[in-house]
Amino acid sequence: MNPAVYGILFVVFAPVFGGLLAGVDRRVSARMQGRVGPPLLQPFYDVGKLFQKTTRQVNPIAEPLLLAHVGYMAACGALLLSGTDLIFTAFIFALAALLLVLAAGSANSPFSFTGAERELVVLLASEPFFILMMAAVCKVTGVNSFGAVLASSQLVAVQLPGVVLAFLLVATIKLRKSPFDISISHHPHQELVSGLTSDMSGRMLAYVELGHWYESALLCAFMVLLFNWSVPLGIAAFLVAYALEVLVDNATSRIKWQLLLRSTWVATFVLCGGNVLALFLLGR
Amino acid sequence: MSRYEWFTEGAMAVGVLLAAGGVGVISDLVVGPYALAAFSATPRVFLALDPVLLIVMLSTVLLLPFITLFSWLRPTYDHADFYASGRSANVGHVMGAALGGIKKVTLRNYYLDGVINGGLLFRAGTVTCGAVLVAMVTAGMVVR
Repeated sequence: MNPAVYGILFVVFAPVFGGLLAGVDRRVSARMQGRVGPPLLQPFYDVGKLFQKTTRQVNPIAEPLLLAHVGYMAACGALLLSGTDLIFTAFIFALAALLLVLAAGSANSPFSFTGAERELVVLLASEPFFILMMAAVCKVTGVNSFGAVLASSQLVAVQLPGVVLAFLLVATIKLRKSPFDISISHHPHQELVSGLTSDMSGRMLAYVELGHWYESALLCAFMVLLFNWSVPLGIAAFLVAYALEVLVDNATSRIKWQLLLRSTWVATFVLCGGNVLALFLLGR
Repeated sequence: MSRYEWFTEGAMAVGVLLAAGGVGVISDLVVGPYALAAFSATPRVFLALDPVLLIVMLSTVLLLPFITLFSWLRPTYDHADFYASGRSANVGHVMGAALGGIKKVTLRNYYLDGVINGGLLFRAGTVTCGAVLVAMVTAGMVVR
């Protein structure tokens, strides 16, 4: 099949995957807290409701920026699966996240501004890892596209165990899970940490949620890169990792942003950098 | 704006577009052959011109002007005051505080203050980059 078809399939089906994942997350979290929880399809109902509500805006540029955020997140996945350079897709991933920061920062609200700055810290903490991870995958396999990595005879996760461990840590940040949910949280009672979205309403909030669903699907695709034996195995590894993230989310309290930045950088440089350095020293 | 400012801004915009569009071509025609000549073990796949990269880079450069144009063409929108702890505030960041008082809200960029010493990083970076540049020039002259 033409790789471009995989890109189109990602754009169509990634929100379905991300929405279902969010539904399972909410149900499992509820059971962990002794509640029944919402139906599996509740995230889709919520987004549908948001699209129907009246949208009030604080300025005319926040909505186009959010649309661009969703568009670039979808384009990043499409480019990844259609065979574009892996490191380039990591930059597009960062750009998509940056557009969300710009949308929140465009409001004059102190809460939005605080949320935008915290999201910038999250970006600063996580993006070096993704670029290093893509470089490490290219180094191990000797190729630079998604399809070629899957076809490679080199087993990435076996040669990059440090990167896999660091991925688990960084995924906690990107999936907005505690203890790293400093800029936005899925828990409804925490107003300040949702500062990022405090000036968004109606369909603008729906765009943020759609962007997050694409982001979840992208993280799954990154995990498939690491477990390149087969696609089902990579998806299964991501689901196991996601279950761990939900457990951690419900068992820990939020840390300060300084600790987030330091711990992520240390994990990136020690686990990821150390792993790549070891590969060079071993001459692989 | 005077016509000189329009010319300067326009020339700069065209230059940015040309640079964004030309990065792939420069990489393919200039950087690629040089890198392959200097580092023969470099895989050729990393240096090939990818038209998708060109399109994405151009669209990225054009994104912010497009958003500005979009908002300019759509001046009327359902306007709302921004949120400030449950009270409306104006664009001067003056918000209604408790007991009818007025509070001036100050936005301050305090992040990274405790993690990175910006002044020290700037001085150390300047000295290091200067030393590296001098060393590279000196080494290049010696090699010649």
